[in-house]
Amino acid sequence: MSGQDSKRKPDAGFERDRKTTEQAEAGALLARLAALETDAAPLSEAQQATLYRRAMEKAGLTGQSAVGDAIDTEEPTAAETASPKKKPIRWQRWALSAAAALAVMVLGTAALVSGGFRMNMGMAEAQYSTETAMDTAAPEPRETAPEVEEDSPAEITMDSLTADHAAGIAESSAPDMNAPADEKAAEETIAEEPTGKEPVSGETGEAIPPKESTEDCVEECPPEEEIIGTDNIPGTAANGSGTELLMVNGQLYRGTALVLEPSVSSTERLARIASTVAAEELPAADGQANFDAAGAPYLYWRSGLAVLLDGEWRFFEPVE
Amino acid sequence: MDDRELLEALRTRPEDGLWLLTQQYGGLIDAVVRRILPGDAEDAEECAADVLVRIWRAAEKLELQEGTLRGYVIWCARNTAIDRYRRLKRQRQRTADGGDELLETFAAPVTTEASVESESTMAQVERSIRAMPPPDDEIFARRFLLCETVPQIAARLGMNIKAVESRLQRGKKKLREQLVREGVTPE
Repeated sequence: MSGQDSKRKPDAGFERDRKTTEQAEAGALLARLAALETDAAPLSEAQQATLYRRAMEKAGLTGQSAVGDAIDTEEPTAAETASPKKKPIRWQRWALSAAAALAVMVLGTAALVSGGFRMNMGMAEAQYSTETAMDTAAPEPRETAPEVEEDSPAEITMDSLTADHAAGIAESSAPDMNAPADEKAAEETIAEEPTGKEPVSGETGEAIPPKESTEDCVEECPPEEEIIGTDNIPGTAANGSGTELLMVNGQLYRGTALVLEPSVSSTERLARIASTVAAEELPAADGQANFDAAGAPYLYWRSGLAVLLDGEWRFFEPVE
Repeated sequence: MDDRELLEALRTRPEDGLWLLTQQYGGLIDAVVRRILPGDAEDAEECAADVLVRIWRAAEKLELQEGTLRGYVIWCARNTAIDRYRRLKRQRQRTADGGDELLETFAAPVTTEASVESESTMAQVERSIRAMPPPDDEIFARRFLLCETVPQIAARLGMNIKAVESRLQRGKKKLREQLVREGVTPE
């Protein structure tokens, strides 16, 4: 027995010493790392909130931090995503959604009456705000605005609204039906690629069928988060002609007019356009473009790329 | 807030602890992750959130000396990002430069049940770096652990870029030989 014990003890002791040494060395490594200064810009409040929300979801935690009680851990509505810097307070959100709902009903009725009515992107934003805000902000707006609930859509008709109000809404948001033909044609190509090809959604790369009516536009417009402002109408912007090409990792990407808003805290460490060739040439090398944007940063965005050009993040779609 | 209080918060009040961790080390985690995943902001953000969760899960078992939580955060961020980089590389067939193999060699294995990092891997890394003379040890630590670029390292140490590159080159060769001898990497 004692012989066996004496055989076991050195092994156990050796193992213990080895573990102790490893622990000490691991601790030394952490101390070394902790002492290394490095460039690390602090995150903005919005970035902290986003990171915290994602971590909470991954961790399966649902409670809210008492320390970070200013954090809104609800998923942002489409209106908040489109304008992250301007987050309306609750009663404003309700007022916005109620006004948007009213505008939607008026416009929908006007569309049926006039036929061929087209909505611009600003109203599309309002509609998305309505649909998503009413879905996500759930009982609050309804509880505090019973008059909206009581007036069911069926009771709100064109007759119940003043003609001026309807005309004002229609006039301010609708394209001018008397506009010259080329402007109408441009507005009718909403979400279509300037090259005439079918538009591509930023997320999945699937083609979106051409819109034929207001209802179709409501259902199938590009995702809200990819549309910034009312000026960003694909096909009508001066940039995004569709002939801008960029080669990244063996894949060619073509510029579009879609303006994105990726959450990029700093462009310092992003990949950049390394070289350029003439506009009529095809880029062949990695990081090469056929337009004058050497040094412009880019990053992967959904199915394509986001490239920072002239202060805007523009979506580049993969060329099949 | 000191490391001990932060770890205590992570253990006893996870929601508060995660928020405090985000506030205190979110920028550092983001910086390290983006160095390894520079091309895709979405991936980097997802990865940073993974790092926070991983640290939270490990907090229960962590026994750190005071002042070393920062080092643990860097180590965790680095390995989580490398793991994601590997997956993305397989998906996108990225080409890796010569430095990546060593970068990945030093990566501790990532498990779905996040726990305390492998001490043997950390000990091995520390031994390798400690065996180098200064300033090579700091150059390697910054390149392979903090994932700083050569120009960044040169600027911080007040050295010529070429000098940093040549030290890295020589050191990589010696390190590779050592790792082969120890059986960490195949020949």
